[in-house]
Amino acid sequence: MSTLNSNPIISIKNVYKTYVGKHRKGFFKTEYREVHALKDVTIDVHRGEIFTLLGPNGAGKTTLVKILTTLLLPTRGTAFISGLDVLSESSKVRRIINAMLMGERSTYWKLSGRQNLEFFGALYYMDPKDIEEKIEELSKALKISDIIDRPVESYSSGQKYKLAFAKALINDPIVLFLDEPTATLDPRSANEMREMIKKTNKRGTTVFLTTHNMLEADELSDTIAILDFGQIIAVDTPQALKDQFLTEELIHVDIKVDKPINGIIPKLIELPGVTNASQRIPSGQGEFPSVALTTKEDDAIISSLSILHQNNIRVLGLSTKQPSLEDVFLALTGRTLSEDTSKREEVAVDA
Amino acid sequence: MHNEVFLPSKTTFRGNITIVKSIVKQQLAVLRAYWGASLMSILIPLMFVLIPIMIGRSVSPNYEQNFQQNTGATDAEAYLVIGAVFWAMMVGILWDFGTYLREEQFQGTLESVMVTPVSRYVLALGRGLFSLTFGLVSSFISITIGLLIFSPDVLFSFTFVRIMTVFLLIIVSYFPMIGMSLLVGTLVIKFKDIESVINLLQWVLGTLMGVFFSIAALPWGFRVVALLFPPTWGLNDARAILLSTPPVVVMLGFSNYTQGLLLDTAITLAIGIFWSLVGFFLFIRILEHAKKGSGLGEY
Repeated sequence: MSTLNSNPIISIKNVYKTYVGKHRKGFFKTEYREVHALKDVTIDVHRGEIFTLLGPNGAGKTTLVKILTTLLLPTRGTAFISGLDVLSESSKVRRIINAMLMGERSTYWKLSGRQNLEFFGALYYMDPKDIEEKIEELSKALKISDIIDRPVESYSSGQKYKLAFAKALINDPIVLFLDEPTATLDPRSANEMREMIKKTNKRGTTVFLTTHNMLEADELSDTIAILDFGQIIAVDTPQALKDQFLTEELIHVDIKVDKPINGIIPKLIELPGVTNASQRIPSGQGEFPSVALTTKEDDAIISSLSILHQNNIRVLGLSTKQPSLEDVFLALTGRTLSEDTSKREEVAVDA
Repeated sequence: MHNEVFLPSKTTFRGNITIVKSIVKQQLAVLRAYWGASLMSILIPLMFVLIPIMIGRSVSPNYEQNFQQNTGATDAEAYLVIGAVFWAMMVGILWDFGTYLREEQFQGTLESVMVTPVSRYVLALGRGLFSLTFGLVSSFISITIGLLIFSPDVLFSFTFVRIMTVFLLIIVSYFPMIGMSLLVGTLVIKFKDIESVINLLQWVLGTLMGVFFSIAALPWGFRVVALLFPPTWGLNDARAILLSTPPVVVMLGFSNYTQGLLLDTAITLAIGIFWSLVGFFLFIRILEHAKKGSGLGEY
């Protein structure tokens, strides 16, 4: 990851966003309800970093990205990108940024990849010669040279994402916004996308990313802001977040066994240091049951293996996992990141 | 926070022209992918005009004489063909331009375009120019085929100057249609699924512009409303040039034919400017309004 500059390239101060939704109550009556999508969001993003907004679905991540990309106006608050006000200087802001907001749907499927890039390049007032050079550079870098002249509708999902990513880089943006860039990708394509993001960042582009995938956030980010119910609840480097919020060093252990261990789980929970123990029953043929154990002490692992041995259970394998951002989120909110929080509390307002 | 920023590109006039060209080029590429739709836009007015022509021929072999008495047109079928093609062109704009943003919303490309620095006016202009070019070409083909089938004598009597004048008239009455289509576009964005409203509007438009009859046949209340529509003037003037029927102001009592035609064109232009300004103003307002709410990406 590139060296960070102390001068913030994105500065968000006390941003609020409230949506007002209409609900018909009978034929003549309409009730208006407010949903507070963002509440007092204040963040600084530094030049050259990968900044990740991590939060569950419905936390307000996309709303914030849309405000920064000038697609939405905040209800209150200010935001600057490279010193430009996203409210009063939106046209200038749009010249130095780019975004991938709708994933594979960001491009025209009836056109070829090249036609798409030529079109979007022109919308950035680029010289046709520069556009062609950029297309060559991007198609080589993203390995889409062989498909660039084919209609986008014939691309695979991963290839469509690559083209959308190329479109987002066509104008060499100073800040690149990526809204859930791997959300619907298969693991291999998601990996490729993450590599592309890293390479882009290494070339000096500041990346503002949203995701609800904690592994992705952990792997890519210089800084992570955790957003929950429209509020920033923590901002720091991934390691600092773990250090700060996981005061107890938890170890997640996965022990693969040869048969179900009904009745032994309570014994494991009683072991000193063990905070949680559960059994996973295989869903398919040829798979084995496993025991998921969370402990604060190394000794508990040896003790649990010994209990399994005493009960004639063969251990087929054992793996440990370090604490993750999921644990940080759990420690902060008492919920997991996979929970959908899009059903917000709505407040009825006068019309 | 206010430090000097290097802006990599300049939004010059020449740059905007290049963008308009790119939008037209992009739309043409999309059109190539949907070539069947282009064919339909040529065939629809021809199929549409068959109905009144066949009714006329069935009612009386001398229906053209009666038609001439009421409209001043020496060739009823040429009159109907021109009406149908003009109507199809205007309806095409209404649909094409009115549902432009909605289509982009569905495709998912609207936000990709809106996040670029290009002005919304330039976008509308580019899309409008494509629509005009497409409308002119398909109308030219339709009218040529229609007249070849129903009134070849009229077709061969057209001079180059007359055809060019009609093209000019179409352009004059076309831009106000962009304004009106933008109005429809704002309705589509505001109220979402109102395709049925556009469906109804196209028939209202056809009736008011006098697609198969002279607007003199309309009850006076309808005639007043019809005169507020630029296509009414455009169509009647196109017929006046090609078929020597009376221009609108002559129908209303003005005596000089040539001056009447010029006056008609001036009025068309004035109404056109009014509708275009209203349309563009509301269009931009609705875009700004959407930004205050949940944005244009929401559908």
